[in-house]
Amino acid sequence: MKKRNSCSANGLSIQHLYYDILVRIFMNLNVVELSIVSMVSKSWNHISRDPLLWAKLDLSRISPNAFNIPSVPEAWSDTNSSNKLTTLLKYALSLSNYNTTCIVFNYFIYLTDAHLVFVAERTPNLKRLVLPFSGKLSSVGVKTAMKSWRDLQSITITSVVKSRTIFSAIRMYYQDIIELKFTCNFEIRQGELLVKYTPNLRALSLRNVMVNLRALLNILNSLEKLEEVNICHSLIWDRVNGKVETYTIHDVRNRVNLSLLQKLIFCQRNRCLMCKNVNNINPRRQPYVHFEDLWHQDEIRSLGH
Amino acid sequence: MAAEKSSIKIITLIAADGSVFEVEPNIVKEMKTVQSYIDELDQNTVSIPLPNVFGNDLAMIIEYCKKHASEEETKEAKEEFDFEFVKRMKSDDKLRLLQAASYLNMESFLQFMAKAIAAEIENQSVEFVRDYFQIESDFTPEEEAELRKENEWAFK
Repeated sequence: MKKRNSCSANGLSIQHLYYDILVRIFMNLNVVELSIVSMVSKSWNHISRDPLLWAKLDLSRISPNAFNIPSVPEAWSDTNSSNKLTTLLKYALSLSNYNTTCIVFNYFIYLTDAHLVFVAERTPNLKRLVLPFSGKLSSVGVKTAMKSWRDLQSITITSVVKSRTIFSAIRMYYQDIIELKFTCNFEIRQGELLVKYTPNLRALSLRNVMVNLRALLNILNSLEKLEEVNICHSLIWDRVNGKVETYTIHDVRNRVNLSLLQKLIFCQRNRCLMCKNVNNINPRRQPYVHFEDLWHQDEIRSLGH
Repeated sequence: MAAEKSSIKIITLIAADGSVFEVEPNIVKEMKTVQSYIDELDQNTVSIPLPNVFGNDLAMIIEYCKKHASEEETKEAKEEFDFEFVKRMKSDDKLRLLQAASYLNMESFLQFMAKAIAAEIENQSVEFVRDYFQIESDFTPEEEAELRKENEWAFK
């Protein structure tokens, strides 16, 4: 580091803080704070670009004080907020210098095609993508973004994007997806898409959502490389002769052979409070932060963040 | 560990201001700088001068090491201690302790202090950070203005 004039009273000056110590401090900062320290001086600007700091770009860790995002979906759908997000992404990604391999959007931001494409163009080495809860993504937008990513392996899929849209983009650019998490319901259609377009899938999380039994059996039987399927606190159901039936983990057990069963991760307590709440996805009953927690956490470690 | 193999019972650490601390070998295990010094010697007692660490700071570091080296303490008690430890420190203390940790090459204490210092600059302005770390901007006024324009969102 450059030496400058001042020395503190005890004779040890902060100028002696070495590059790697500052990186250690900066490792604890979020993207907003990193942007702040990058403006302190030239040497700090240089240090704030260290690849270690940018491997994971986590917008969910922004504190409300620094960057006010109310904890409700679509809170950021106005033009002003959208522009603010673009400016933040622009600066952060200029510091990241193409070193980002994992991006976690803030759960409550409103994601548009423009944001996604902008991010994709500046994160060609992305491996893991965690989508926010709300936004407006078109098929063209998702495909354009997908074109920039060549190493994408893992996605947390939310209701922000239609399954058809994201899977046709995955197919178009031959993305080799090995890990997926759904925070939206898992139907027969999703099962079919997975079997077709993610043949190398290793880990799948369908945690605390409604999971169609036939879809679940389909992926268990068809995806040979599957190692883990997380159905903790999920409600397994199907429509039989026009009637909705629900199934316990015991029912699922009776329908698959032992080797497949070992791949399932399920709630050991069976009918815990979370299990009971799964079909209560009603914002009037539960605050959104609850859904944010579900989105954050996972029994499969690589799918939590 | 080398410290266990050798017969050293007591280690004397001498701080920059001449104050003397006598500690057991397990306390300095984390201080790699001290440890490498001990490893080279084969004596019953050693005294090690630490010209870059002040007595007050060394006392705090030893207190931290004692707590964390203790096998009787629960994880919760150690966390509680860490919390109070940070609360007790003034801003200047933190920077000095960080430098001491770096000089003594103490991995986990260094990590701990880095986190404590990061907490100081959370939600703060560029001016605050410069002031805290005693850094003068070396950006030209034009560069500074450009940066501020790019980061308008940060200046609410």
